[in-house]
Amino acid sequence: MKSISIKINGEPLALDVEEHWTLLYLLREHLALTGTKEGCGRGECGACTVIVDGKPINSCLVLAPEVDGCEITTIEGEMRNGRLSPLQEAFIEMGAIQCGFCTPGMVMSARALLMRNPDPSEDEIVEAICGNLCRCTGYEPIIRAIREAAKRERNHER
Amino acid sequence: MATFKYLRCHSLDEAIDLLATHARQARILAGGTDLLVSIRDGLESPRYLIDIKPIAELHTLALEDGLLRIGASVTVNQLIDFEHLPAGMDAITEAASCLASYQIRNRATVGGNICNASPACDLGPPLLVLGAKVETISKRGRRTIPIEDFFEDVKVTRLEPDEIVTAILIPSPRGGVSTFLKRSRIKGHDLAVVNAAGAVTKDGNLRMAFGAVAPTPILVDDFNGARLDDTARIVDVLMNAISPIDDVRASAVYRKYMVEALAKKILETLMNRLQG
Ligand SMILES: Cc1cc2nc3c(=O)[nH]c(=O)nc-3n(C[C@H](O)[C@H](O)[C@H](O)COP(=O)(O)OP(=O)(O)OC[C@H]3O[C@@H](n4cnc5c(N)ncnc54)[C@H](O)[C@@H]3O)c2cc1C
Ligand code: FES
Ligand code: FES
Repeated sequence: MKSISIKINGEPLALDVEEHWTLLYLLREHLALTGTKEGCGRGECGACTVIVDGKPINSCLVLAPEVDGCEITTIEGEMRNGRLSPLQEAFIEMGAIQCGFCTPGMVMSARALLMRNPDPSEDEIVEAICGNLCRCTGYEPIIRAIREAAKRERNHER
Repeated sequence: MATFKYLRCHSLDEAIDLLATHARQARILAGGTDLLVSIRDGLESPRYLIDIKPIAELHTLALEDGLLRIGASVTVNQLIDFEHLPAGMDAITEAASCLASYQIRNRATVGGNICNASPACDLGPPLLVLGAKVETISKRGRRTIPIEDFFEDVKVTRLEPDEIVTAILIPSPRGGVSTFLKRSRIKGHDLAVVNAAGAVTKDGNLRMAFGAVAPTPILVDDFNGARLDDTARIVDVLMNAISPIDDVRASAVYRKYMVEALAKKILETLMNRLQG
């Protein structure tokens, strides 16, 4: 066991973790943050994407003790004051969600992109979600949703 | 996942002490994008993971007297974003940009890529053609290993079990040019079926390197005096240098064709860049 302190979706939290737990396991099985999904468990699908210290990472390939002192944002931290974010709204409106399994990871990759680049080009969007597989939508609606959300957020709808 | 003890190191002294004590039972943990997958698959079961990411010295990324120093723990995305990369090192950024996905590149380190020593590692060929050196440390001291001597076999390097890579050093190309190309099953986000880099010095000396066509990335730097535009002779030399195999990603025959195709494109780009 290791004691770690993290900030999760804005809330400081101190807890004990097993050294071989992945961050994904910690989130889902011990913090009940089941929005984050496990697809492949080996870095290939992006369903487990969360934001650690401002950067999107695959939580299946990070150990829980490695995030000691880090700030973590999961899909549960995307809502603002009980309302869906413009990004979430755009995903729903544009048909960017079908089965929804890829969506939490996709939204986290998109959120991290908008944090570093509020006005991304289509190529930059593709690059940012290249590690997020979607078996349903064919990606086009997802790309449109991210563009639309970027526009709305730039216009201070947020 | 199998169990192990996670040890976080804040100094190089601490890390080499731990590694010397636990030697073959320990593994260095950098970004974990290769190691954690191997552990998950049961291919490796170390008792100790020594996390070297907190060691500040290993994050240096700087030009020192014309020499580019890339600390072992510099991530692939940090390398792509580095603004002071000397002219002529395009092969490095081109390779880094098509390594895995954006998320993986936020964790994947330069040191981890070469220490993992996959025959298909994307940073192998550019480092080979640019004449990089690998700087290491152990309780016995520091040494540097030319990258062409670093790779020994599939997933095996010349590192001793108690040795840590501290940095990769690349000399300035001084008027030379370089480029990288990768062929994979899907665009980006997959290991290469074949990857390739080429570099030419200002006075026309050619170096080419290929990955996934031999047990290690290989360097070819003797073309029997062939000129840059003598594609046929250059390809002949390459065909004798490679020893591709059939695997899940492609057949040996396909790989041979790809080496020829990539080599031609690389030579063309190099000639254009020399003129530009
Ligand atoms: C989905 C996916 C896609 C990928 N795609 C690509 C790709 O397109 N191209 C590519 O080249 N690779 C790819 N990889 C492999 C991997 O991401 C890279 O090789 C990466 O650079 C490894 O770095 P790391 O820091 O994660 O290494 P780790 O996993 O932390 O370490 C790898 C090995 O090197 C050793 N090591 C690490 N640092 C040091 C050091 N400083 N000194 C001594 N030993 C050390 C470790 O003990 C371990 O044995 C992919 C991986 C995944 C999961
Ligand atoms: S579950 Fe982490 S990338 Fe697939
Ligand atoms: S909506 Fe089903 S995988 Fe993307």
